[in-house]
Amino acid sequence: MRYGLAGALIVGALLWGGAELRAHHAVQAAFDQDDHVTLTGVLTKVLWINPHVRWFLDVKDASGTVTTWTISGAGPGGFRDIGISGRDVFKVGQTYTAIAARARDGSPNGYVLTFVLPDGRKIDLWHQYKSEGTGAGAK
Amino acid sequence: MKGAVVGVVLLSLMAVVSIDAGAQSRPASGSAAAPAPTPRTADGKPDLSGRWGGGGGGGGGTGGVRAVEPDGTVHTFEHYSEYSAALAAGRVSANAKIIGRQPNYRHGNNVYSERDAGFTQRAFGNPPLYKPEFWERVQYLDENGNKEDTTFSCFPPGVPRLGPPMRIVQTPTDVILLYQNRNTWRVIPTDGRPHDQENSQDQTFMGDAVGRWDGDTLVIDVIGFNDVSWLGWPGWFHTNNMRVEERLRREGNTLQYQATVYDPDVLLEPWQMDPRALPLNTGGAPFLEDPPCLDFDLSHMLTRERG
Repeated sequence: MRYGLAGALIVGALLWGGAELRAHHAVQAAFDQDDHVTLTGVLTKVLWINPHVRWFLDVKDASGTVTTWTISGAGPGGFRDIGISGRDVFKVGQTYTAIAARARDGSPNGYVLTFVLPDGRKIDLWHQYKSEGTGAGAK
Repeated sequence: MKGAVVGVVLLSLMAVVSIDAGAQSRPASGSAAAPAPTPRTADGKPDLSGRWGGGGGGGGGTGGVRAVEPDGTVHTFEHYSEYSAALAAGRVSANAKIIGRQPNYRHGNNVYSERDAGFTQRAFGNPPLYKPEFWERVQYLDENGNKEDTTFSCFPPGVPRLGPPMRIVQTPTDVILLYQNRNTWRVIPTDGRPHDQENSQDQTFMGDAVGRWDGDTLVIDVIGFNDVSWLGWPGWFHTNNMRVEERLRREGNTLQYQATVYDPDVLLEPWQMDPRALPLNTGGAPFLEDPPCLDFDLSHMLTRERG
C-alpha cells in the first residue's frame, strides 16, 4: 500500500519523532558521499553501539604498512531487527572489503556503503549506493 | 522567503512521497486502532500496561533483507536467518546480492532523508513560538546543531523530546515508563501527590514527575529540568523553568499521548507537541537493551550540514 503526500508527512514525522534520538545524522558533515574508498582488511572488532555501528578493519598497503580503518554505519537497532548483527555475518579475524564514503578530514574513517563478505557475497547496507554487478566475484 | 522554502520542501516531498508504509517498522498513527474495550485494573483505572508502538528498530524503513539475483529476481526475507536458510537450501544463489536495511528514503539515500526531514520540521514541524528576542538564538542553534544539540554527543534527550513510552507497567501506586531509547526508565507516582520540595529543585533531563488521574486520563506534571536538553531538533531550546504536562489515555488498544510545554520565560504561548497514537504491540518481540550511545564522530564533522 502506498500513501500520498499526507501519508509521507505523517509517517515521516513518526519516524523522525521516534528515530531521531538514536540516529546521529549529519553523515554528510563528516563523510563525503561522492568520494568512495575501497578497503580490504582483517576485521578486528565490531561495536554494536549507538548512534552508529562501527567496524574496525586492519588494511595493509602495498608497502606492508597496516592502517586500522574505522567504518561506521547506521544505528544498531535496525541491523538487529533483521538479524545482521548476528555473529554469523561479521566474524572477527576474517577478511572483508568495505566500500565506504571517505571521511572529509582525511582520517582513516569511512561510512559504509557495501561490504563484501569473506565468501565474496555482497551486502549493501543502508545507503543508496548500488554496487556494480552482483554476488561473488563482482567488482 | 517563507513561500520559497515551502516550495522547496514541497518539491522535495514530491520526490519522496512513494513511501511503502507496509515496510515501516513503526505503525502509522491511529490507523491500527481497533474497536476493543479499554481494560481496567482492579481499582477501576484504565490499564495502561503493555507495549506500545513499533519495535526496537532504528527507524527509516526496513524492508527486511533482500537478495537480488543476477537476473533481477528479488527474494525478500524478514530476517537474515531466513535468508541464510534459503541460501543453504539452494533457494537463493550465492550470486545474489544482499540488501540489508534498504531505506525508503528519497533515492534510498539517508543524506536526502536528513535534508528532507530538516526542511519538513522547519516548515511544517509545529514549531514552538518563541518570543522575538530569542528568534536569533533558535536560528543560531539550528544552524550549528552538530555542535550545539547535545543529543549529538549522546546526552539524554530528556522530557519531552524523549516522546511517549514504549512500554508501561502499571501498579496501584505508580506507572513505570520504559523506553528502549538509551534504556531510559521513569517511575511516576499516580496518587496525586505534590512535587517533592527538594527533588523538584534539581535540574535534570527527566525532571521531577508526579501523576494524577483526571477521569480516565493519566496526567503527569514534570518540573525541575535543566536547560541542556532541547524540545526538538531545529534549535528548540528551553529554560530550567520549563514545566511539561504529559497526558496518557488508553482507548481500546490505542495509547494516546500528548505533551504540552510551558516555558513562559522564552515561549509566547504553551507549546503542544504533535499528539501520538500508539497501537498496542502484541508482536511478542523481546524488549531488548538499547546499546549505549558513544560518540566518535563530532570531531570529524567538517561542515554544519545535518539536514
